[in-house]
Amino acid sequence: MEVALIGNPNTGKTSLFNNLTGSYEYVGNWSGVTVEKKVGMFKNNSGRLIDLPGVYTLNPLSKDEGVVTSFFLNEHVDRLLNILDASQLERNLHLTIQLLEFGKPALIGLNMIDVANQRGIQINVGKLSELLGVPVVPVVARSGKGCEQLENSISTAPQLINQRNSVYYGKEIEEAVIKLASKLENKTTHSPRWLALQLFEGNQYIKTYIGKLIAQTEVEALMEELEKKILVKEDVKTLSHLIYQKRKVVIGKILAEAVKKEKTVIPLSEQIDSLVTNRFIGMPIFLLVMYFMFMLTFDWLGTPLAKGMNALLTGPITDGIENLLTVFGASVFIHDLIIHGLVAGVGGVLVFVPQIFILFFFISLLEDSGYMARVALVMDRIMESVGLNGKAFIPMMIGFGCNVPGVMAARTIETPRERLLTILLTPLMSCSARLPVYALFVGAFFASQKAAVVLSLYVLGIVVALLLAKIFSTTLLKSETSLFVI
Amino acid sequence: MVGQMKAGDKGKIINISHVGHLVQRRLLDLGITEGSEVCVKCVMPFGGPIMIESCGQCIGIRRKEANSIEVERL
Repeated sequence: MEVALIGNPNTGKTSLFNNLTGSYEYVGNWSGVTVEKKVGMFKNNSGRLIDLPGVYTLNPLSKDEGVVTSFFLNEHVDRLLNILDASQLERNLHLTIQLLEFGKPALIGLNMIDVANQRGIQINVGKLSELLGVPVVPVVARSGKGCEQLENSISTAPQLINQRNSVYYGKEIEEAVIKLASKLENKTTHSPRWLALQLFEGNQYIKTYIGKLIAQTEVEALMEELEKKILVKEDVKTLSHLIYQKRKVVIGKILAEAVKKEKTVIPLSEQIDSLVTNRFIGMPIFLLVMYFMFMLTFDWLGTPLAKGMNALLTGPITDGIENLLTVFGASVFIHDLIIHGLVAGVGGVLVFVPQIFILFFFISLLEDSGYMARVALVMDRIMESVGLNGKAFIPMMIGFGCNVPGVMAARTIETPRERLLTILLTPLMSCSARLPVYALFVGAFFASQKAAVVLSLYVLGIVVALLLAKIFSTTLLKSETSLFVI
Repeated sequence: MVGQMKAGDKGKIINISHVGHLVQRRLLDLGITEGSEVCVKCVMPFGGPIMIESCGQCIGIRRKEANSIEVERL
């Protein structure tokens, strides 16, 4: 049985995936951490779980989101597991409605119930399940609470297909849906209603797909006719707006019945938020955080550890192996190979492991705490001035750890031009593999000013990257508007 | 205009159609459209982005976009 895991970004999909499948995977806070399709076996071996990137809707804006739509169109799936953020139900339910229209048996995992309760939101799970017509299981993905129940529901839930159309889109749209559905009959295995509605929403992937089944001109004629009718009758600007509003009304009704809101208190995280994104001290705080990170890595914590490691390698380990080799009576060639080749060579790299470890630790800590997204906001003005986008900052930051995931993280940038620029420039960030080289130079030539010199090497890379960004964006890669919403 | 609001100001969006297509779509995905109430959380210096709050979530948008969203002060 194939089960697809789908939900909005930052709803805890990856945490849930890890809890359900038992395999370890990276968990982050930046939308698009799950860039590749990941597959895992359920703990009770009842089927395979496919982790999809986080999306707000099935109508994609970026390539990352397109993965989901192509998956739905081209690949086989038995069940959908939709994960919802209980504290943001209204936004999350837009996707749920589209998934229900898809027509495959669905199951809802209601995550972050604890966060919702803290914010004074009480959700009646039974009522929500009744209104949506699918089973709803409350879970806390972070701690794994409720995951067993969810797993059982997936394997035991009846193969019920929800036939009830949860949203009525008005006479004109419904008529057009039926018209298109009759043309698509026997040509596709997908729900014609879902295909039609996605098409009317302006989903390009669906348009291409339908265009292969029936004549493109026919589809366009149908859409034009519908749009004309809608614009005359309803007070909306586009067809997709109307569909959105119809869904919103239905969601509003569902929420009114199943959710109770109480008076809210400002959580601590919002207070921290207002501090780190403060207009005056936001940037200094960021520089301070970076300085602390580098000082810890290279001076306060990293150097003693590296020295200890070095002492361990050149002292006991070399001696031990030397003794061992003498006991076995190894030839001079083997002796030299192991002592001067293996131990000295591999040891030269191993010495830097503590420093690399510390740097990676801090980078992932910053990323998982959500500070990276705030940094993107704070840094957007500077990045915009060189023709980049605040979001480009995240790939570049990750690039300090390793360039490869940095380049991969650039996928979340929506416009192709900015994505290309970010990918081109991320390798200029000094990754941790370059650290041994820097450390060697610094140790040899600038022993008294280690941290300062390494920091300036890093800064030099950034400055060159920004300069190149400016040059590229004004010469080679002009035009195209940039998009920045986080 | 959202761009002219100060931190702490609240408003109701009355027209969002002058904003670029992509930004408009993304804001719609996040539940921000005509009629939704927004609250400006903070404004970055030197014409940097603006952080607005709507239905419990914080969203950063650029000043340029904020300047083309018409709001009615509450």
